Amino acid sequence: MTNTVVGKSIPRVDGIDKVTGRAKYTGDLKFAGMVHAAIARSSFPRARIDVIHADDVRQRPDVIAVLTAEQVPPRLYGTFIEDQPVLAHGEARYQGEPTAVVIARSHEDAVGGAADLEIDWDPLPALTTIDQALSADAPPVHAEQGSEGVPWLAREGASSRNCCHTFAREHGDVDRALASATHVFEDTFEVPALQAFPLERYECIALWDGSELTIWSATQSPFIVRRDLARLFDLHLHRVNVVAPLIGGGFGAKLYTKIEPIGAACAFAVPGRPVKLSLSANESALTITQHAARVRLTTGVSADGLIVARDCLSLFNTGAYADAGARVADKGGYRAPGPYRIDNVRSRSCAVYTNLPPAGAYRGFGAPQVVWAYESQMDVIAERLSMSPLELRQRNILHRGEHFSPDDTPLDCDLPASLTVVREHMHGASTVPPDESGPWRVGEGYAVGLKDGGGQRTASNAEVRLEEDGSATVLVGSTEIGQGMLTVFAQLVAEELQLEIEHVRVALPDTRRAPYDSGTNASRTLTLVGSAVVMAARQIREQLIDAFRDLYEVPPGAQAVLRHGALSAGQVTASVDEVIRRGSLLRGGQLIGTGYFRTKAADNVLGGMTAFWEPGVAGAQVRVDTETGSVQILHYVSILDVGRAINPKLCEGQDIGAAVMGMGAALCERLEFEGGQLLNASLVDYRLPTFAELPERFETVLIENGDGPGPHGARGIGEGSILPVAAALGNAIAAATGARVYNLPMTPEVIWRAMREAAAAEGSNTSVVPEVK
Amino acid sequence: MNRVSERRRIRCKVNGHDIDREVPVTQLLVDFIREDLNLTGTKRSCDVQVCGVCTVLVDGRPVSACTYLAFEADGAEIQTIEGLASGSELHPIQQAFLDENATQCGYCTPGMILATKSLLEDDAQPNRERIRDYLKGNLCRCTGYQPILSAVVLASERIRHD
Ligand code: FES
Ligand code: FES
Repeated sequence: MTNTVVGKSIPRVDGIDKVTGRAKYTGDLKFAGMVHAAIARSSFPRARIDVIHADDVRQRPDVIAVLTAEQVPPRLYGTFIEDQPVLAHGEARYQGEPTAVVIARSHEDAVGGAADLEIDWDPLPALTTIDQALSADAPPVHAEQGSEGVPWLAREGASSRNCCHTFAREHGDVDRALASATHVFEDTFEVPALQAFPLERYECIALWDGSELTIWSATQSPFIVRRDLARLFDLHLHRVNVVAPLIGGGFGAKLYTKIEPIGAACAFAVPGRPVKLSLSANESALTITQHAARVRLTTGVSADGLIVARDCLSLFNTGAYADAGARVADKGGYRAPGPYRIDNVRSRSCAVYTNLPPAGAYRGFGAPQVVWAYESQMDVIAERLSMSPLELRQRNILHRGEHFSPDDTPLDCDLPASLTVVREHMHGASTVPPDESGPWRVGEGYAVGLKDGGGQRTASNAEVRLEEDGSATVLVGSTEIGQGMLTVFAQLVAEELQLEIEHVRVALPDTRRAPYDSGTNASRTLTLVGSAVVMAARQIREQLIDAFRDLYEVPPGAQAVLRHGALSAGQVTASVDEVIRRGSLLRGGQLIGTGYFRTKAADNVLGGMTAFWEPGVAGAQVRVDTETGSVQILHYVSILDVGRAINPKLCEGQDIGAAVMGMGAALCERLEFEGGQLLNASLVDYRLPTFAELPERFETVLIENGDGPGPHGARGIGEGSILPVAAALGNAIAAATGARVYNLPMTPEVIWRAMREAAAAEGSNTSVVPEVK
Repeated sequence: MNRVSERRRIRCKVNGHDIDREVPVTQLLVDFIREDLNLTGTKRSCDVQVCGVCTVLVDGRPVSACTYLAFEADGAEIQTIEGLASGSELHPIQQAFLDENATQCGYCTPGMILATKSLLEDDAQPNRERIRDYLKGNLCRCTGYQPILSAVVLASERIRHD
């Protein structure tokens, strides 16, 4: 087969719509008779609802209805734990929890009604930190949630009353190995809550027409939303249609069900009329956050720098509702030991309920928190052993074919090579010696992150339809969140069926037409759904070749091939459209191929085999102003081990996009809460990276060994590049200044303080840190 | 008090077309453009003049339509993203964004392109520093900015060599 479009950086197929403003997102859709909804929220992080005075607002001429908990299904929903009500019932568990919803003729009237809705609250003491929630006298955030004692939490002196979910994995004998290790390091690292802030906020439009519920929503997981809505509203799945238009960024914040139950409840209140629910940016910040976390690592190291044991304890603040928290705790706990060859491992994690907004999925899914911890500690260890940080990593790093965990898929990527390459690029010929005059100090740092990619026990389907004119449509349940799904799937099908890329269209999903997919997350779409797409296209190729042999009486021995829109066997040739048309008595002028790809189930701690491993390897050179603590990134190298780049430019886009997102998290972002009240939801106070934060020099290095399990040897990307960012920068800052920061973000003030402490420690009593050279 | 009912007449040009409407005095320009004129290429996100997705050009100057009252545009010439391409031919800035993969989810793109247009009208050959400084009021969560920077440079080259 000739290689036509795979491996080429063709422009994204949705690009023209996006640069001309024609691209339609959920909030751009307009329907006749559309009405608007707005949410009234809890003003307290924890409070009983005494009375909701809805009548005044209900009687306003422009208000159509006001819904409270009594008017919506009493059932709870949630992907992993069903603990979240559609509207607060009896009690609100976080400040900003949806409590009532106003439906009005205009958006302004709905918002005004919601703002004026009077609710009598009876405030209760709130739990906001992990420590408060795990203390012996903490009230339960969810009285009805299971709270049987977790022995290892008890040994930590923690109560299990607010434990939402725990995870544990163990192999070898950690206690013994730690007892006999030459060096033992115990360090604790923290990460604050963040908002992903995709620029498109939460939007949905819901319509109940008496027999079918249709909901247009900016969601990364239309099929999960469908399931939750069907269960909540007691409908068969086939009566719920979830449509996901183009999405203005997701990053995990739009994974799993969010505002759709409220939208649907409104639709049932005004049958036959589409209801639009559109959140403000501040409301979006209250809808989901990244988990604040604390990670404690106890690591035993031999005299020659081999890690002999690691004990990890990761605590995740999951807020008032589990959302993805249970799975984030699983994944964080699973990944916490790091990509190293360690014979004795114990890792435990817990998602803890508090009275903060729910925390859920965020690019990397629990990995950014633990990578920050273990890659910072690697440099602490290297410094103590007077070893180069890269050498320490090379000695311990997992090689291809080795096991991250004994009962999971062996490693499929080449981490040692990535470490070598990142160093080469950091010290490349064009590197100019940086200016260290005045207050500036320069340092470089490295980090490696690894996550199991693709999710466990997921299923994906694809359908490809080849029309009699040689044009094809691809139907998948994946969403386009900017990653380029529409483009690469078109490339895959154009390649298999030897079509021009313009002749392949990938449809955006709605759950009535598109085949099932578990969601656009975990960097899984190209590798897993893409495999189903290729299968579907190959099925069509077989059908075509079959029909060609049959219709054109190709002799049995002759080989038939498909190339450039035509089939040929020896002297016999026919164009694809001729073959379909000639055979169309059978199939109505269309060939249909289907593909199904499922990842393997397994009896291991994650309940399934990892489909592929997603690494992130980076080097950073920074310049720190020792007078102010401010940091400038001079050079950043990110190694992207993609297996095979179906579209190199789109791969690079994912890489730098994830890295810059990670730079914001590392250096400036933090959601501030005071007594459970979110202080900086607005972008005026919550700083995101801007053009000004772009590193002076950024390099993406693609590694293509064809060793991924996806189409053409590809492996999923999109999250890996965010994993090493914070630790690479923290290690570079420590190298430049001698000051180590343990808690993110590394703002100038934090760095300045750390430098002062480091200077004081060095000056006062060297016996405190005897082994530091 | 009936604040919403007070209305004003505005006459302006939007993408070259004459517009003559009555608008509530409290209406924001972004809502006028998106809801009344149905030009949904202009986006809305932060509502506080930080993200730049609502950027439109008013008499050639970039403004945040989320914090600009519609009636203030009386007599002005407004350009939105829909007015940039001529027919099916993309404006060189649009083409450069496409060629450099400077758009992913696309939500920041209309505002980013209009801000770029105003930059290049001001400075036909901006250096890296100038571009970074001029565009720092336009956020992008997807691209990491580097591809946008390349697109701006490419567009400026193409426009100058046309
Ligand atoms: S919506 Fe106007 S600047 Fe953000
Ligand atoms: S492309 Fe998504 S915000 Fe810029």
